[in-house]
Amino acid sequence: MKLGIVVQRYGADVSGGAELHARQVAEHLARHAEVKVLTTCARDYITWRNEFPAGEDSVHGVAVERFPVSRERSPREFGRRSEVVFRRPHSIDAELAWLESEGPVSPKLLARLAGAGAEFDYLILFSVRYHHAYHGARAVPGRAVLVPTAERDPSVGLGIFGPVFRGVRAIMYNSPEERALVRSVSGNQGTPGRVVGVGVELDRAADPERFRQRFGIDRPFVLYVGRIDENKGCRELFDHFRTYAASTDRCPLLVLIGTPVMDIPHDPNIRHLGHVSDQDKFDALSATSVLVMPSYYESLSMVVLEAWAARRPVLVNADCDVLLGQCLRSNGGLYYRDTAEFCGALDLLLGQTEVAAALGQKGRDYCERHYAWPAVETQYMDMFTQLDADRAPAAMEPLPGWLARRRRSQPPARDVVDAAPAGPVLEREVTHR
Amino acid sequence: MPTDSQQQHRGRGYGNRGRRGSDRRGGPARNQPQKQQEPQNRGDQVSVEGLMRDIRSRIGGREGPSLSEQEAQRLAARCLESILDVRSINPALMEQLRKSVVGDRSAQANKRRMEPPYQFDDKALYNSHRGWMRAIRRLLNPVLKLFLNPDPIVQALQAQSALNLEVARRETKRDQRQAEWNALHYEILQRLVIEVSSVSVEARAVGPLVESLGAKVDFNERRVQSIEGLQHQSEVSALPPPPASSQSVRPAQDRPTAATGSDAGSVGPDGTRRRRRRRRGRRSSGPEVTPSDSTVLNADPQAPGDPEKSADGQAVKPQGISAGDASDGASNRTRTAGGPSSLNPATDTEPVAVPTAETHGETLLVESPVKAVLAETVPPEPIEALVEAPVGKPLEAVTPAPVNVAAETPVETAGNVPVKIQTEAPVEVQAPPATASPVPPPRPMEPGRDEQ
Repeated sequence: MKLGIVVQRYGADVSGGAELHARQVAEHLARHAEVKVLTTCARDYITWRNEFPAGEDSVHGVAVERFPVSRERSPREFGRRSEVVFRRPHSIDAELAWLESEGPVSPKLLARLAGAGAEFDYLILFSVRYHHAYHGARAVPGRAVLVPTAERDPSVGLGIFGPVFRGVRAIMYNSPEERALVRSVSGNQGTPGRVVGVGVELDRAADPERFRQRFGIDRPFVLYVGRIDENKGCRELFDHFRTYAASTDRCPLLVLIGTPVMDIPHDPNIRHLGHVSDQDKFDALSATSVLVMPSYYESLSMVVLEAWAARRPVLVNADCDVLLGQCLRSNGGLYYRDTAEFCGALDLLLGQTEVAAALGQKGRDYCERHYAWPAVETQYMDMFTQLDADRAPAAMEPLPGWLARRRRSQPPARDVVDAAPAGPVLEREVTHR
Repeated sequence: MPTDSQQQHRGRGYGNRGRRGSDRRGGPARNQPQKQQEPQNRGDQVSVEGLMRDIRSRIGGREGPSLSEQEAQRLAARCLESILDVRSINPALMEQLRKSVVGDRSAQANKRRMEPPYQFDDKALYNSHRGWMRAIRRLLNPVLKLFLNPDPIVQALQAQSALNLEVARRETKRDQRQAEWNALHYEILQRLVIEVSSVSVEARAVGPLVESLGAKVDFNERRVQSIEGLQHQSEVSALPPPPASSQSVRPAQDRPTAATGSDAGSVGPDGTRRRRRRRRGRRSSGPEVTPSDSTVLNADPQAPGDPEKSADGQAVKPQGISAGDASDGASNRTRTAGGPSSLNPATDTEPVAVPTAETHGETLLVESPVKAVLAETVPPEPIEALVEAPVGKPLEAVTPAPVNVAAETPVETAGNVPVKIQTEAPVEVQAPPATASPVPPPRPMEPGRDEQ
């Protein structure tokens, strides 16, 4: 079996949830099939500037083919078009223009996909909101397996994505909440789909003492891993944590790992370590008391799974349906909606170590059941087998005609998403099939 | 709202109220205090939802019941409505006021949302969100000006825009002022109603206290009276036996006491100083008669509100009915202290007018127990001798009948001086036997242990 993985950026040092997800899937599926990654030369997700050389490459033993991006992203234009399609009634043409401004626009990559023919049995396309995934799925709908990595953001409500969700061969969801959202906005119940997510290394070697010694941390700490960004809820995290620190005499340290895109408050109880290696990250996860995840929008938090793999409890933002659902289904972490709940939950996790350990163990059990790599690989391979047995569907719904595309027939995407059912999926054991 | 335990209790059938377990008849576990339910958050029993419930309950315990703004508004409105008396206040008025306050707030919010107002400048006519359209219009503008002059239109629209802005600003300010006034009125009214309510509740609480104090005053009065009666009895017993009955029914004008305008309240006929008793305010409007050591009970010359009292406190005219007055048919009525209205039906020791040898036909007000007072004041001769039998009617036919003093039955004394017995309750004066043995002295009332 030959698989193509199409993703907007790819590289050993490329950070980002979907990109890391794609890399890990590629590397693990490479054990079962011949895998080739088709990507762009971009490294920066904001500008899509070509930084990697175009052509063949290899990353961790996986073949990579890079194609140049034809135009960089203009944040100003993207913001203006986003305002139009998210908040006002608009046309299909406006949505396509928004997708162009979103990028990464790589005509050569799309031409490669269209001309691939029978070279790949299936093309796994990551991140539906990007230009390459939408047009790639339209180019090869009969072979396209979509990993939407859709969050509850307005772009999911755009009308152009409905035919894609309904027309691809299969969809690999990251969470039950994501599946519910996509089904609600697109009505793609007929499209084969599974909640797979991404696997985690359960038995990765980690040394907490090494981390403590290396970074000079000699007291309990709370860990945040990820981009330090207001959009990730970091401002609220700082506020909540400082409130907690002021209210207790056994204040822990808040350790931040990741690239900052906002000002970090000067506080003796907050320590920023910057970008660290994977080993340091896993050491930190094994040394921490609690992993905190304040993000409002997640399709699947990999670092939460990694914390659970290290038997550490998590504290998540309850306004994120996916994180809340993960905690409720796994019994592996607590959640908060305001400062009082943050302080209460953190106090409990730090004060009652046996409860924290029990939560961590529950999270670990949950990971073993659903997010161990063998289970994830099996899900993918089972899906391909199922698709082999099924007949390929008819072609994807075409785009409307020239005039229809310019008619303002589309509602504001934000309204569409707001109208979709919200909340965590509460079944304890979600069917991942 | 029923609690969970109540709901569980209701859910059980009547026949299932008893315990069905092994400890139904008691056992080692029966008398043990029930262990507090352990949170199911130990080890494998950890439950995120249970933990979060614990955390939230702890937060709730620290902060107390928190009311949302809507709940607080609802409670405030309900409080006001429950206080308002719908019979005296139009409820629609309150509703209108409340709506106006809320409406003004929302109107304010709308106004704020509506800003900035419509604006117009000289390029507005040619504006477009499409750049090329703007460019074409700009190019064709000279051609347009060949057909018409758009400048007056632009100026008029600019003026209109400025006017719109000014009007909107003025209206916003007026609405804001009105909203503030409405809110102030509502606040004042609400506070006023709450104050009135609290005052009425306080007044209701004070009512029983006043009654209690009144009862105490009554009690003290009766106590004082009984002590006075006791003293009087001892003094009477120390006096020599009274002279013949003809002297005892001497006309009042022969006596230099109240009928002559002397200070009846200060010095008695025997020269002893009379004791005055302060009556309750409601009884002090009229003359007061108290038993004195000489058993002559005259009106209290110092009774407040007495129009016939001189400035130096001397009684100008006696308030009791003198013998001369008694001849006057119009005044042939017993005067009691404070008049008829002074009789308090609640008390069982109301004054009773009793004729005595020394009252000389004056009406005496003697408080109960009637028998005790009668024993003091009745002369040695039997009462039958004082009661004039109707002509042609045997004495026996009259005296056994109860004397209804409330009906003010005129009873004439032997000296043809009409004496009335007045009391509220019918008092039966038992006629002594014909032998007329002296009435035994009454048992004095113990201080502090009277009718109560």
